[in-house]
Amino acid sequence: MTHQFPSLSPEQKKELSDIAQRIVAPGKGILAADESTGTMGKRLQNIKVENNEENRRSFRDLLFSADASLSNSIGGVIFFHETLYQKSDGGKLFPKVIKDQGIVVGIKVDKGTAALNGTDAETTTQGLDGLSERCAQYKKDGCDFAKWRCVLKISDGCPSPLSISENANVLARYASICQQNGLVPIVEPEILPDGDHDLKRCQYVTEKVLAAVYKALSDHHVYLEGTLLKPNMVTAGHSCPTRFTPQQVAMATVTALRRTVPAAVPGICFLSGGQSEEEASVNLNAINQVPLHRPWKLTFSYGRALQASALAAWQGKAANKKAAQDAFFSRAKINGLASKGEYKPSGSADQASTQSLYTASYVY
Amino acid sequence: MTHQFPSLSEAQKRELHDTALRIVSKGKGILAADESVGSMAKRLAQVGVENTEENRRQYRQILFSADDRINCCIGGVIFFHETLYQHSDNGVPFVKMIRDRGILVGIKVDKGVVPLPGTHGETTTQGLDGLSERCMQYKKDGAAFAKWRCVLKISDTNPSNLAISDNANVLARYSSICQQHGIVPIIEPEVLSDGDHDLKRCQYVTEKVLAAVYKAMSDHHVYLEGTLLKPNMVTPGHSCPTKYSPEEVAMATVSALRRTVPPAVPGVAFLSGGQSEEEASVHLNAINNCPLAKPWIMTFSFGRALQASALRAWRGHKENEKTATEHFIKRAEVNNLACQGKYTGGDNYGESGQRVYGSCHAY
Repeated sequence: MTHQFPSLSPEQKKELSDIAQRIVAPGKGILAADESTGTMGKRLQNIKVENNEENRRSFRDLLFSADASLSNSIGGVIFFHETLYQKSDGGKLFPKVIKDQGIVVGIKVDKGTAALNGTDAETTTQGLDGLSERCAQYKKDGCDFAKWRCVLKISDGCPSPLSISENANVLARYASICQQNGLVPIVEPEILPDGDHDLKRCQYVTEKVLAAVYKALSDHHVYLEGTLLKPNMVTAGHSCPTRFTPQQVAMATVTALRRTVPAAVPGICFLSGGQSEEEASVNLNAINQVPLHRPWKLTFSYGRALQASALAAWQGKAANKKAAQDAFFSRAKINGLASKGEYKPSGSADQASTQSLYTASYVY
Repeated sequence: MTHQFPSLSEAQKRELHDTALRIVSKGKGILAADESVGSMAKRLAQVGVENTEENRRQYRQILFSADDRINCCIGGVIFFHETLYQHSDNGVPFVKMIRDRGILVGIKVDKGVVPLPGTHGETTTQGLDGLSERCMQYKKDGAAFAKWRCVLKISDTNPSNLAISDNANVLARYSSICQQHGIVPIIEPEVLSDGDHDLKRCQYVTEKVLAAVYKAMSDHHVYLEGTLLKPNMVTPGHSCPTKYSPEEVAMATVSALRRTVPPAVPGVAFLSGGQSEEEASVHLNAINNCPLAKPWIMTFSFGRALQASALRAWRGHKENEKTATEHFIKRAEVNNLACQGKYTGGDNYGESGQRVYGSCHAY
């Protein structure tokens, strides 16, 4: 505890820090296109498209070539392993397609959840075995960042102390290994919105989980300036009878982050969870308008909230490709604005009138 | 871990937060005048003054009778228990003198260090017994904030895991108790500068200590917006052969804090440790000019670094009182500038040249 055995040279630190800054450059966020084969199955089934390799390739191709100015709103794309080695319609490897647009390539490296015995169906996440070698290979194959998702849930007895500490520990091990191989680790401790708990409860749990995550990162000597955080927004559970405004969600979220996330972390890229495209954008926008000092970038790392309309427009048909691309590009631009607090949904109140909704008497 | 049992009402949180902000409001810092009877003995011995209650009272009076020039420099004064109940020559309670000029009164509540058996000379800090009742009384007697000092040291074997975790825990217990009584806890995990270690070593240890402190705060449900931190600056050990510039000290200090202190903490008020008055001010100034983004106010909570000249000028002689007070006012004004990054004076800086902060990736 008293002597440092430096794990990263100043050059390695600079590289990691520069990559992180590029991903969350002003007005930009992340396209999470790393759905596993199984998860893509669910998405494609919704539009009655067969879940085969060509269809998965075709849909990602559509997204990656959506528009010449995609890089104005997208700083990074997270890939699934299969996609990293697929090619565009024009025969170019997808990582190159992305990099040629000045967008950073990322890779999902976890291997899914595994049960934590003795808990109420809680999980940890596996994938540490041989991770160092895999990271080295991914770096050669064009990746500069990685993503690892842990999952926690809220219920009467959850999350348990074991779930919190075990997931924090595994995230820290993953982060440490990534950095050794020049990959910026995105740290994702997702707290599911399943349940009927209210906003306060989610805030409380989020604070405890994030405090544990950052203690673990410190214990594992992770270089914070070369990481990104991908947390849930603080929201009420799906079945909570009370409705909360975007401003309340934003205040609870920013308060929780200010209490737990060190300023050295360059950016926080929210997951969208079960939120609709519009909900995710409006909430992100409100977060960027909260009148509290926010020392990190606050942006998006969205999967469904960037792709839902595009999927629906595509229906698996080549003729619908342009419509699908337009739908995706539109969401990308909207979220780019939301990451600066500049999104004005048509028909909504202007900034001045929503500002008053922040000065609620409730102290978070 | 999953259900909250709120310990503070909204009104209590608001009071704590407002108090914390007032102490560190723009240009202001803290006068640490809470030297125990034992510490005062050392200070007074250096200027040949006998350590009596009356002399301690006279000395504090010199500081507290400074004129309105300090009102924009000092946001809070930390008292020792004895001093809280003393009066000026005119019979005005010291607490009233301070509060009447809009300065907040704080009280040192710890009861000193005790050994941690099985460690290599390490300590924890005692004072939790009956702390709740004591805080309640101090609040009635005019205190708005409190201070508790833990001490860690750097050596080949130290600080040990036990020292780090026990001191973090006791700081969190103290904070939690203070907040129940409307008292803002100043959290002081001092990493001593004794030793020959370099700047990097101090930075590393400071980061580990502060990470543990804030994890403990979270575990103990402490309301961070209603606390202040009083850390050491990150400096090399006293016997370190390498010299570092104020900018290097600043970069190391700010980097360490950025990695550990949540943005919700309103202010960081540095202790001066063994630094001279000028050294402490120059370092504080460099810290405030450091190009890394700093989400908290960074100011001072100085004892010796505000009082050394005043003490030397006084030497226990009544006729030197006014001069002594002037020396204190001068340091207060210098630190008012330093905590805004506007101090251009300094022994070693004739011209206000370009300050070279260097690359943050080396830290």
